[in-house]
Amino acid sequence: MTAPLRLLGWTLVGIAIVVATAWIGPSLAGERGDLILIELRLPRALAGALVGAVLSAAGAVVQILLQNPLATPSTVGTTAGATLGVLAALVLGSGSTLLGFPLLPAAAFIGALTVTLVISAVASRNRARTEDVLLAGIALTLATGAVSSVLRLGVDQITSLSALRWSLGSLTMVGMDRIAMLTPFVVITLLGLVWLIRPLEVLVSGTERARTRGVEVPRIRTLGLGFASLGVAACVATCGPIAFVGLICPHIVRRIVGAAPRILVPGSMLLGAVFLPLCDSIGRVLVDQREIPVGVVTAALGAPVLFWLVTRRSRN
Amino acid sequence: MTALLALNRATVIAGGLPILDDVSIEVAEGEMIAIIGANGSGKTTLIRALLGLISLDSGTVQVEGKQLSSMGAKHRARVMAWLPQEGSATDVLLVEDVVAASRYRFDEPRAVALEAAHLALAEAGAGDLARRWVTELSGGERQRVELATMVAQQARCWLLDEPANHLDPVWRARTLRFLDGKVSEGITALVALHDVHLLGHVDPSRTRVIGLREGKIVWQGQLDHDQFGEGLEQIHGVPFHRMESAGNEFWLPALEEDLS
Repeated sequence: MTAPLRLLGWTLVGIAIVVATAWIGPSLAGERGDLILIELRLPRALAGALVGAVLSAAGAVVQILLQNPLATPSTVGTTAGATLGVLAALVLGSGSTLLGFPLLPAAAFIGALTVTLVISAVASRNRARTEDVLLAGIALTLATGAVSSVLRLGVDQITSLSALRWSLGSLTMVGMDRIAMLTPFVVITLLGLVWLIRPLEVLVSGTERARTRGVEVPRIRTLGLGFASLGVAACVATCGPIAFVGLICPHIVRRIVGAAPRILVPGSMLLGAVFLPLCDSIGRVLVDQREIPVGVVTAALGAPVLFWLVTRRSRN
Repeated sequence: MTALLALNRATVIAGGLPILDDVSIEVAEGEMIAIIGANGSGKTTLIRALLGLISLDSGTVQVEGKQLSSMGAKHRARVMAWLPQEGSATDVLLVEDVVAASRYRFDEPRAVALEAAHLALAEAGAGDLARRWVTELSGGERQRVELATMVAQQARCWLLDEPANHLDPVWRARTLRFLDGKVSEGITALVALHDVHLLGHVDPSRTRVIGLREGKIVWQGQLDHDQFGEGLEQIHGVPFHRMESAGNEFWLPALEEDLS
């Protein structure tokens, strides 16, 4: 019973930190302070927690599934697919009028799921090696990236700028309406990933070993990539692609509590849920009168942490 | 009686060359089979073919008389457990978790799997390692953990690919002794060895030798067969000397070249 209790305890600590991040930033004093807190800051913290949990847990699971520390939804092409979808929507649509809610998320989904279907098809082939899946992901990322760049060149400057701002990843525009749309996907994704923990506990010792111990590897791989992509597509549609969270958070958790998926997956969820709102708040206070997109902060903050952890290990 | 495992006219081709060439073997329940042969003679491929980890270019694999390809992964795991040649993952995992994970096919609560893992570790002489990280183990300790995962899976047949590699002489001998003990308890075992010397540690009367050379079976017979020496010469292409020590038989290659 101690492990569930400890998880509960850490979850409460996590929630406390997420709520506290809402107070980080320009002062909330004055008559509109409460309004800003309730209408803007708290939804932002909540959205950050949901997105962070999904990106981080998806990263942890994809790393195990593909047996590669560099694998994340970004490296198997999901993020790039979603980005292409959004850019296509920006270009094919009539500009700013279609920037809002429902077209963008739908386009992100179509893009992410198309790429994921291709990846899943590669992964579910019986003899597919994990490297093949990763290489296919990189190829798809490059291909969709190239199409995205061409699309960006072909549009007017205003559309191009909004596309650029969106592609940096930001929680600024996320309100309760988008959170309401995001939440069901977050719940499905997180439950799906937790449901896969038992086979993941076997897969962590190697793909072929898992196969000889009774794990239907292609099926688990397809399910895991599917759940991860569903969640990531919802996140990209909500706030743009946010890099590094899926890569860094699982590695930090692994360094602290070990690589056992039954601890790693919930642990990554929790750390991601705290890490992203924290980064968002830091982006709010770093430069006066301006906000740094959260995607930039996660990269700037996460990369040195990861670097430090990696060099510390190689010394041992 | 149907064989527990059967490989029928199996051929595996890689890079235009057959690495397994029209090989048929039958493994009966309770048998100990040593696959011997030089490096690259097809031992690993044979084991991987039996496990269904590689597909055959021609031929079939049958398990308990059924086609392997029609069997689900959990059914396979009930019949066959595998100790691969390369070491296990280097991820930061607890020994007890690694051993418990080999019981995936049982669909049991974690507490039950852990209890079974602890019993298996004790049987492999590694009861004290349960709460250690696998990344911190020595070669001999790792081997005990590997053997414990085999015990914990409770499969009927063990397929071991060079289980003595990277071990010191004492652990090589202990590994083979442990295996021989499991066979005497009723486990079926198929072990690939390039070091024929190690066959001195198993009971020769119940051990069958299958000799591979360039993907073909060139000799097979009981380990205590009086033609085993000639068999070794066919398998390796050089004559072997028989030596006796403390009642065990050992075989060493007799090289013509001068060592000086």
